[in-house]
Amino acid sequence: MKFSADEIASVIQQEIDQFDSQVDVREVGTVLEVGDGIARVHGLTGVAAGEMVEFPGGVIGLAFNLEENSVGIIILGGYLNIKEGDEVKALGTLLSVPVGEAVMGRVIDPLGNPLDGKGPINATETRPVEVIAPGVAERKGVHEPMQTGLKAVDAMTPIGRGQRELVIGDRKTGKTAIAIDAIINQKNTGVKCFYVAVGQKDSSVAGVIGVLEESGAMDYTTVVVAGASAPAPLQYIAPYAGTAMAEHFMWNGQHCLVVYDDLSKQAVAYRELSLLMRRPPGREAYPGDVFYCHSRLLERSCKLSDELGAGSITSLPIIETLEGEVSAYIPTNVISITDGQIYVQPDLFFRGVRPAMNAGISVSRVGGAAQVKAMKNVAGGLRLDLAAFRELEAFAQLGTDLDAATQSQLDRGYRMVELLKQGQYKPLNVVDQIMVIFAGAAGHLDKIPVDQVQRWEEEFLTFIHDKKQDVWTQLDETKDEGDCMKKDDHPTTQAVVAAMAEFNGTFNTSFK
Amino acid sequence: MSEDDNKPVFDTDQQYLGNVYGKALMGLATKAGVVDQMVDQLDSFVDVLGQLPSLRHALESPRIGFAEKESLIDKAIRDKASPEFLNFVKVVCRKGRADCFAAIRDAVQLMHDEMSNRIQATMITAIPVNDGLRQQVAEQMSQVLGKQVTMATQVDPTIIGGLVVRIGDTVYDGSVTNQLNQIRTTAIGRANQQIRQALDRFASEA
Repeated sequence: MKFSADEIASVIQQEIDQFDSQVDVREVGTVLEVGDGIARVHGLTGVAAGEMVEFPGGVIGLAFNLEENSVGIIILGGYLNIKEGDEVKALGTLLSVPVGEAVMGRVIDPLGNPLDGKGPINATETRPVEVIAPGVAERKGVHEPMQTGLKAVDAMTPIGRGQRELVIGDRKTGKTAIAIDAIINQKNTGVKCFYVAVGQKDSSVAGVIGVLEESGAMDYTTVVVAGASAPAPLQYIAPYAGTAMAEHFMWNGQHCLVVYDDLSKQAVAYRELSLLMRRPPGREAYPGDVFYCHSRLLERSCKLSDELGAGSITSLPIIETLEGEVSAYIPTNVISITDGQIYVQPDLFFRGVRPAMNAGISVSRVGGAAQVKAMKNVAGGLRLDLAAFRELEAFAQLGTDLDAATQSQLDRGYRMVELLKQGQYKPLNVVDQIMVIFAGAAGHLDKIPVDQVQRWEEEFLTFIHDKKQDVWTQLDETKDEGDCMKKDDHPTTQAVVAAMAEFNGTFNTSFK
Repeated sequence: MSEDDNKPVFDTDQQYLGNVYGKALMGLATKAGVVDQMVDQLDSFVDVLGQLPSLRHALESPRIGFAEKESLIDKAIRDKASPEFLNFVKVVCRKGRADCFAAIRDAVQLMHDEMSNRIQATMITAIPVNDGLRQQVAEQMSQVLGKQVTMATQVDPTIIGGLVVRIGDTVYDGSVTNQLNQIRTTAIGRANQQIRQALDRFASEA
C-alpha cells in the first residue's frame, strides 16, 4: 500500500480554496533576556498569569511572573534558539495536554509529545494542566481498596481509591519498586495508571518502561517523562500534566493510579525557576509557595461523589530523603499533605526485609475504611504486634533468659517478618495475601523453621491453587463479610484452616 | 526624531523612572495649564540632547558637580524654556537621573496621547507607501478604535505583502507571510487528519 500524492494534494488544494483570509490580531512582546529556561519579556501588557505564549520557532512558554515593566516567562522546551529581541506572541489560552485513550500505553513528555517513536498522539480531547481541585461537595469518602499487591502495604497501610499515600525513604531503598508493583497489580482491574518521572535518569525510566512492558502493564499505563536533562520548567509542570490526563478518566467515572517519581526533584526544579525569577527564597532556599505547589497538586487526587460518576485518582507521591532526614522542609510538607506514608529504611533493606517498610512509623490515615474485611480481620493487630516484636527483639539481644510466652511472641515475630518479605515485581492477589498472613498470625507457622517460611508460602500457594481452588474461590467470595476469617466457626475460616492443616501434614521441613 | 528613538525602551528600570518623572511633569503642566507647551519643550530638549552628545555626557556625568550643571543648564536653555521646565530639568539633574530624559519623553508622550484621546501606531508594509494610503489606514483604524491614530510607517520586505499595524503591544497582522503560515498549518493539520481517518482513500493499490 502506497500513499497517493494526488489525493493528499487535493485535500490541501481544497483547504487553500476555502482559506478565508482574516487579519490576525495578537498581543506581542519582546525578549529582554533569556537563559536557564526562563525569559524576561517586555510588552505583553494584557497577558494573564499562566497564559501560554509562543516564541519564534513554535517554542511554548508560560507567563509565570507579571511585573510592572516586564513579564517572566518559563520556557517549556529548547531555549537555546531564542534570542534577545525576538517577538513573543500571547496565545490567549492556558496550557493543555492531550487526554483520553490515545495517551494510554504511550511514553510522552509533559506537553503531550510522544517520546516512544510510536507515531503521533491521536487525541481528540485536551485538558488544562492547572485546574482547581474538586470541592467538598463534589467528593466522597474513600471506601474501595486499591490493592498494591504487596503484603506489607495491603495488610498494614492499606490504600483506598482516592487516597494520597506518600512513599518516602533514602535513595536505593526500593521506593520506585513499591510504586511499580502497585502499577503491575492493577492488571485486569480497569484502573488506569500514570507514571510521572521527574528529574530521573533516563536510564532508570527506560528500565521502568521495560519492566512495565514485560509484565504487560504498559497497556493501561501512560509514562510522562521529564528526565534529568529536561529543562526545569518541564520538570515543574510534569506532575500537573500527568494529573490532568488522569482527571479525564476520573471525571468519566473511572479509577486512576498516579505515581509521582519523585516530588523532591520537582520541588528542586520549582526552586530553580523561582530563584531565577528572583522570587524571595525561604527555608532551604525554596520559595514561600512550595507548599502550595504540592498541596494543589495532591488535592486533585480524590474520590468523586456518586452523582459525578464516583471516579477516583489515587496517588503515590515519592519523596527521597537524605540520610533519613524526614524533618527536612519538603518531606514534612508532603507528609502533612498526604493521607499517610510508607516509610522505607536502608537498614531494613540491607537486612533483606524487602519491601523495606518500617511498620512502626508507616501509617495510612484513611485506607482502613477501604480495606477488605477479611484482610482487616487477619491483619488488624499486625502493625502493633510487629512494633512490640521490634521492641522485644532489641531486648532479647541482651541475652537474657526469656519466659515461654515472650519466646513464643518472638518466634512468631520472626516468622511474620519473614512472611512479609516479597520479591520485586511479584504482586500477590489479596486472597493469597489473606491466607498467608492468616497462617502467620494464627500460629499455623509456629512449627515451621524461620528459614523455610518463604518456601512454605510459595508451596502453600501452589497447593491452594492446584488442589484447593474451591477454598480459594470461597474466600474470594466471602472476603467482604464482617466475620470472615475472624470467627473460628465461619465456614470460610474452617475451610482455610482445614486446607492449611492438610498442607502442613505434607510439608517437608527438613528439605533444603 | 532619529531612527533609534523609535525602538521600544528595553531598560525597564529607566522606563519605570521615566514614568515617575513623567507623571510629575504632567501633573505640574496640567496644574499650570501648559501641557502642550511642556510636551513640546521636552521633545525638543531631548532632540537637542541627541544632537549634542557632549551636553548629554556633561549632564549625565557624576564627576561634574550640580552647581556647574546648573549654570550649564541656565546658559543653554534659560532664554527659551519656561521657568517650570527649567526647574524640572534642574531637579532631574540634581537627582542624578539625567540619563532618563528619553524615557521621560516616551512616558510623557504616552500620557499626553492618552489625555488627548490619541494613539501612536506603526504601519509595516513590504514596499514604501504614499501618504494617501497611510492617511486612509489611519482613518480606518481611528474608526475602529475610537481614537485619533497617528501613523508611523516602516518597511519590512520579509512580510511579502499586505499590511501589519502595531499599536502598543497589539499587532493587527494582515501580512501575506502570516496568511501563508496559517494556510500551511491548517492544510497540514487537515491532511493529517484525513489520512488518519481514511487510510485507504489516500493509498493507491500499487
